[in-house]
Amino acid sequence: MSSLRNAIPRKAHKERAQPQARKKFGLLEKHKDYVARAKAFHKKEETLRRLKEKAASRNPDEFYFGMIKSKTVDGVHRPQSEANKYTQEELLLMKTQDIGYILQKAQSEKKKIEKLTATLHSLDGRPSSKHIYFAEDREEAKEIRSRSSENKMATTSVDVPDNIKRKIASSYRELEARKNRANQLEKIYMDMALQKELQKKGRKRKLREDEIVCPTTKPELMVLGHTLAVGPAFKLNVKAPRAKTLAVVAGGHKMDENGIGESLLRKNKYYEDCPGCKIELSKETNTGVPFKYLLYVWIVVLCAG
Amino acid sequence: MAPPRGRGGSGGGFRGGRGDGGGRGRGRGFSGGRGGSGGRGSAMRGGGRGRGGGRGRGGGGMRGGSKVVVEPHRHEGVFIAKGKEDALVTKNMVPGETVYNEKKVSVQNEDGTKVEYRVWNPFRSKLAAAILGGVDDVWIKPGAKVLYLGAASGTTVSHVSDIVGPTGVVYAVEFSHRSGRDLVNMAKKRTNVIPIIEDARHPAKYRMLVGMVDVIFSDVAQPDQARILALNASYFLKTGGHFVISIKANCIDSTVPAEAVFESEVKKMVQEQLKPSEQVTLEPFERDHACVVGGYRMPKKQKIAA
Repeated sequence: MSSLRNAIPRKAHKERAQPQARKKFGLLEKHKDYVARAKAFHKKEETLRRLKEKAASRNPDEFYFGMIKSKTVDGVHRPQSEANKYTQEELLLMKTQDIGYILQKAQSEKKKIEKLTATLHSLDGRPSSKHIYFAEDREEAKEIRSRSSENKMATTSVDVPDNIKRKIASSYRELEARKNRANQLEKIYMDMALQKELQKKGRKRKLREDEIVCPTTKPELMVLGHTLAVGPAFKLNVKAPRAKTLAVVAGGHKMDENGIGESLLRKNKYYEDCPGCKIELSKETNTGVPFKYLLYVWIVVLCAG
Repeated sequence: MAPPRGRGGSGGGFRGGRGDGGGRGRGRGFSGGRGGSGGRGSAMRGGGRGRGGGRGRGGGGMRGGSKVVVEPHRHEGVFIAKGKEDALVTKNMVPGETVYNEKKVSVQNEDGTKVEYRVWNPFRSKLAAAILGGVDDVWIKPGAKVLYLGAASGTTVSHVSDIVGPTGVVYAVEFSHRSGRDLVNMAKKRTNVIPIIEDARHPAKYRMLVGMVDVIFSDVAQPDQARILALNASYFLKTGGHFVISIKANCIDSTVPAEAVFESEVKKMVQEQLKPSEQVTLEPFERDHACVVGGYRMPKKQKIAA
């Protein structure tokens, strides 16, 4: 039936538009638009009615938690601030857990990188290692040189199918992405660890330019966790390459890594807070007979006697 | 006035979608639309077919070879696997078995036989690192007799045994009983490995077990490793044989730069009739390590010929 009706071309009823004269009222409203508008209006109306009803039938003697949990600020109800929802210890614990999660993720990423690098040896790239040949005399050296240059020419890879080339490329891409991710995680971990250290007790101050020590080698993440636990003083070395150079100096002085190479015994720097440094400094400045200390010793001996 | 404007945002937008958009869509459907949509469909299908075709081509040639291609390396007995991995591999002497949970790659030949290869991890093996570092010749090749000092758990030893194959022999010397246990377990499955749990400083103790060898590989990481190598060479290395020694700079002297340590070690070797021919650093894989390759009691006939 309907198919028959469809067979005859029907007149296309065009949609009526807003007359030019009423253009200023916007688009012409159709019935379905009206329905949507009316529904929204009635919903609001109903909400208002319910609220009014509630307010009218309210028991003035009843207790509501809202009475103590909220405040009016300039006549507007506001829930009380949740600034002190958690205690300092709880916050510290939560932060520790966050750091733990990041560390776990970083380590798992490192494991994955290890697994990938075990099978991706970048065979086509030039080796970054240093190659030295030993020759007895000049002639041999010449021969070796010519041979090595020949070898360099000869290293052309056998052509592999395109699908395998694509696979290799995607593997290397994955490795690169994972490395990036591990780097970022490590960075985040360092930042969080710094924040945590800063929350601890102790005097904090910004390091001067000459106090910043750049480590010669980047510490491993695993080792890093350990050194952080050893003491806040060491953290300074870990943080050094980063822009933030805040450090906690709590009853200890930082270890001077650069000094190790020069001499192990002589010290040039003395730190105010360090009791050992104080003694060393006094030893170095007072070269005469320490009458004062001898007197103390004598008194102590007398008392003991 | 206000209601129509308020509706203008939502209702108007909706109406536009029904009226104008619909109209336009229909128009496209009637005239140029079919061409457009048809073209899109065919493009997608074409792409799919292209990919499928590629796979088919790969499968048609070699069924197993479609995923991995293994080609021989410059060094005899060492191969390169290209597939999802891009790695150094050796032909597994004991198919189906791994030594340290390394990855296996199996390839089917044209005649239907399967060959299994094991991925050689350069981060765990200094010999692999040296090969990737571009050393000219490691002298360890199929059929060679190798004395391996400092075998540890036998990870590298297993690859060396793969390389030398059933015609070669690997004498693996390790002092520590703990890692020696793993070494012995590995050697149980590989007939060409002879484990020796002895101190490499006293070759006299195992002189009855070891015959003359073509190559000595030394990875003992001791301050007197040059002396250990020379001692073993004097007992077992044939004249004109070769040695490969891996030097860890920190183990010998951690206060001087690595280069100086390598130099001094090379000098020590020269005094012991071990003539080094080349040295490579194992840079991306190990820090401050070098691998020195050379010959023992090399004949000096070359000069007369030249």
